[in-house]
Amino acid sequence: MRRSVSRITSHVSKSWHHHLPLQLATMIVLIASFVVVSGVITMSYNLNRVLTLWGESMQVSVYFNENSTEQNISYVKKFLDENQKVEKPKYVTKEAALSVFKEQMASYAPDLLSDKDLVKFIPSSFQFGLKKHINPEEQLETMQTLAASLKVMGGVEDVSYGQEWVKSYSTLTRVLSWGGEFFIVIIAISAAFVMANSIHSSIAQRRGEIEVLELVGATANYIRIPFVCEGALMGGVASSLALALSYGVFSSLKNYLHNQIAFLQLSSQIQFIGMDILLAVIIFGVIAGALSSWICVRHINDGWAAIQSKK
Amino acid sequence: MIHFSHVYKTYSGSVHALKNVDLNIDKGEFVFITGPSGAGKTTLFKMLSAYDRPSSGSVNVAGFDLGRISAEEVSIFRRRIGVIFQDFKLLKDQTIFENVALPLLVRGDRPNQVSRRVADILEHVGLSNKANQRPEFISGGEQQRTAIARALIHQPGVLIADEPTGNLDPNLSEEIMDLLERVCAQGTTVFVATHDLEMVKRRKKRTIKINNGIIVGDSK
Ligand SMILES: Nc1ncnc2c1ncn2[C@@H]1O[C@H](COP(=O)(O)OP(=O)(O)OP(=O)(O)O)[C@@H](O)[C@H]1O
Ligand SMILES: [Mg+2]
Repeated sequence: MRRSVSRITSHVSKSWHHHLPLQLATMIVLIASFVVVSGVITMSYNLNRVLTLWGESMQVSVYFNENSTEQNISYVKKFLDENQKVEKPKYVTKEAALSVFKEQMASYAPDLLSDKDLVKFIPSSFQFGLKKHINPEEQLETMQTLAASLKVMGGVEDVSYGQEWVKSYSTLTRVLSWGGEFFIVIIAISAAFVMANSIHSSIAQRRGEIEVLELVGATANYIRIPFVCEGALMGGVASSLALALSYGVFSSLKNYLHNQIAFLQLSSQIQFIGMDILLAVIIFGVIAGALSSWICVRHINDGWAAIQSKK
Repeated sequence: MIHFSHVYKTYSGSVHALKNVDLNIDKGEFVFITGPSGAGKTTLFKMLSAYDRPSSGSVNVAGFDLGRISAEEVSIFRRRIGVIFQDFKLLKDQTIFENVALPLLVRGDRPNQVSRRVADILEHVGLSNKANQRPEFISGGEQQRTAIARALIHQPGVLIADEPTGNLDPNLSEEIMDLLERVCAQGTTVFVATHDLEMVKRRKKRTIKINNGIIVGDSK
């Protein structure tokens, strides 16, 4: 075990010794890629958070018409209670709605308050939100289907959920999450290419060593493992450094937001990516590094490297 | 131990380096192979050590069919033999100690065991004081002795030596040949290519002559 660790350490240190500029360039590109990736993740993570917070405050109102009966109301109530996506449906009587209305209007139009007919125009309603587990992309569709079912029920006058606003909010989250994923894939692919290039040069530099190792009886894996470890290490170090860097940038940005536009209270709502995603990014770095070097070294030796290089 | 049957080796550009070579060598034999430069000695050794494959015919060494050997088997086979390459094939950026240790390291021996064996064999070939040098900083003869030490360290069943005394002075040559004879006496089949006909005469061992890729004489 100690032996293989020292073999890998010397392998890596040799790579850095012989190809310092290339190794540095590779490392910088990898770190930059991971910074971008973690930036995108942080952004979409926070957008999702903010949007979810907004989404939670979205209310659906089911207004009853004047002819609605007790039966109509209890039918709707039963439907809402049994629906898995509906959060805390609340029945608001005409009177309750009126008093809320009066409260809100008191300072604007005191005359209205004395109008006895007012209660006729204010409908009773059910108000409810959506369960938290429904993610932002699904909210619009859920609301649309719910509204469609509710609208045709007896006694229901109208269903309102701020249709236009919900629509654009839903599109925004969808575009952001698709865009983010697409971006991450592009970055990951180019990072893999840069990495592969560096491993390739590491292999070329060791051509002679690989031949000799084979000739004294080293197995294919004995020869390949240091390269794979080198890739894994590179991916792990690059992703860790990138996350540290991103955290630094994030913190100063958050500070800036806090000082400059405190009234939006954004700084209290945005957060750096959570520990689980942080770990996932590092593990992804390690695996991607190991994988791309494995792809490079898969065919470097099949037992006859010495004779193949002469052909 | 070693069986060649109708072995041909043709390099690109239709260079026929070996032509219809038949050869049988028993376990524990000591054999010299002589012939002018370009005769095919190194090519014969390449067939013998699974460095390269024959163009046709069969090469069988220690029970391995080297024309058809698989990638997994070839590393097992190479651990059973020791080869002193004509150009040494030492690793430039590793010390003499590390170079000599390679055959033990690749088969996973324990570090303290490796250290002991390496120290032992370096003592044997008179290189104890060069253990931490790199090959480029020692003399040709010292490099040759490093190659010999690496070929012997894992006590192979077959030792193949391509010009093992080419860079050594007469005294050292005799010492190395004595060493190879001792190795042979312990049961290793030893196969030595050399230009040094005087030495071949003195040693009175089986001698195979090769010329133009054809075996033209066998003292057995
Ligand atoms: N890889 C190769 N490609 C083409 N021709 C080769 C190759 N290796 C050897 N040869 C040719 O095969 C012939 C035999 O070469 P070989 O190296 O076996 O000779 P040798 O007996 O070892 O000579 P020396 O005593 O000089 O070492 C030579 O004509 C050589 O030029
Ligand atoms: Mg030769």
